[in-house]
Amino acid sequence: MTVSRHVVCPLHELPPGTRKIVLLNGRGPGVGVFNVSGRLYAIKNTCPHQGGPLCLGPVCGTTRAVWPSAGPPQPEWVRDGEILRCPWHGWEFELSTGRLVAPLRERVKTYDVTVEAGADVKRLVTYDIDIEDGYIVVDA
Amino acid sequence: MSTAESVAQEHRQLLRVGVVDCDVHPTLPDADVLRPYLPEPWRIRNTYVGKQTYVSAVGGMRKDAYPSTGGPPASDPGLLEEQLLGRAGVDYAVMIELITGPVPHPDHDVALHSAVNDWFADSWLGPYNDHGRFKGSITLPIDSPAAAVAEIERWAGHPHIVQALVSSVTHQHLGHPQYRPVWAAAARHRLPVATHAGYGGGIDNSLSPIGPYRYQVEFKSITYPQAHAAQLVSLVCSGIFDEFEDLVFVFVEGGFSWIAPLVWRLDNNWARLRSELPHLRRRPLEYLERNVRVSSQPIEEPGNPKSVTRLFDLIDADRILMFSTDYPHYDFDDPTRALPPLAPDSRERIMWRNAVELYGLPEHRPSDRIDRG
Repeated sequence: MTVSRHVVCPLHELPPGTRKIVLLNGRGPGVGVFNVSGRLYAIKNTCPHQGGPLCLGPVCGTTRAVWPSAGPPQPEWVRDGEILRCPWHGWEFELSTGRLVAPLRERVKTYDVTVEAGADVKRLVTYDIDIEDGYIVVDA
Repeated sequence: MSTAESVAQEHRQLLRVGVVDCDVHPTLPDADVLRPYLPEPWRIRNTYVGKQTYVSAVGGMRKDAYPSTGGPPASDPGLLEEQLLGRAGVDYAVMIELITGPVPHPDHDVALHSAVNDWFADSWLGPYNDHGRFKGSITLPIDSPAAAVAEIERWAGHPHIVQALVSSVTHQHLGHPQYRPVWAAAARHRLPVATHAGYGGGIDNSLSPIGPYRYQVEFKSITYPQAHAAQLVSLVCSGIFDEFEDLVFVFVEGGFSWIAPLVWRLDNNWARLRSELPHLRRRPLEYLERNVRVSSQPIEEPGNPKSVTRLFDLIDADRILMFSTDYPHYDFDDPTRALPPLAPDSRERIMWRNAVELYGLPEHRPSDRIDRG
């Protein structure tokens, strides 16, 4: 499969804690590009469950069970910032893999996302911007 | 041929099991039989305090099941053998002793359950069981969990005990942590746990979520399945089947048609709200085949029997359904007539194989005096 490269924006336009939804080749529903504490993720903006706009959901953590030696299991909050929760029905996906936290088969497509120096990507964009940092590039 | 040779030959004859009945209700010839098994201060009282809230308009029993020797139906082993093992062709009868349901005073409750287990071992699982075709349940005073554990420890390993038994009427849902030691004990001894509606001194399944019903028909139609549904959801959501992965619950006499839609709904809610239940290692649907069995009687009887066949597909009946008669009650299902048309393999699994696998019963049994008439 051919990989197409898509320049999203200069890194400084997507500071930590923000996201952009970009249309690849001008078509929706697009891809969400997230900067979570400096880690970049790109994930398809469609929930495989009922087609909800996944990338409008909260980025959060999730729970895991802690089993004491006796007594019922207790929930513990873990993986803060690693989980994207669908805004429609709350299905929880790992931002990095697109896999569900729940043991279900459905999965969302994720994309490689890199930061590349301006010189390397200039030929991919039709305009020339004078910037200090690199560009965010999604390989779709 | 000498008599000895003839006996030996008969003993060599093995019969392939064809029917396991997972819901048979033996009872006491009269309440005083239990008295010697009860300590004071309970012995001096009438032994059985249970009264049913709803009473059947046609009587609770098959009218042909009253022994000529007196006593209530299923109190006389001879007539039970003739009607159930003989005429109905049941190979193994898994017995659910509804002698006592939950009663209000916990000490009385514990004493009654313990007495029933003693009496049962001394009768139906003892002298009445020369053929070994009666299999028993340890009835547990479930709302005294420590005593329930003690009963499991007392009876596990008995050659004819195949499961523990709890009322579906409990003070808390069965997933509540207070019951956890009981499930731990059952799991340790590889005993399935059956649950059946229980009756007793004012504590029974008599209420709907919106108050009491007017008719026994309403009670029979909705209450048993409702209690089972609540207990099933509770057990799954509380992670009981994650902690005790091989533990099997048998839902007896509460129907099965509701299971698929209920578990689909549970599955759906879990997918959305999973973070509330991180201890579930599987989707709820998957616990059915691993950890849940249901008995068949009273089988649904819609106008078109093919509707039941379709329902069997939906609930994966080949894996989870086990045939039962409910002998000697008036809503008895006959082994030769109750099931809808089925593929031979499905019929075999439902009529006996699922039960044989669950309870570890032999697939063949020696012919005995009942077979020889």
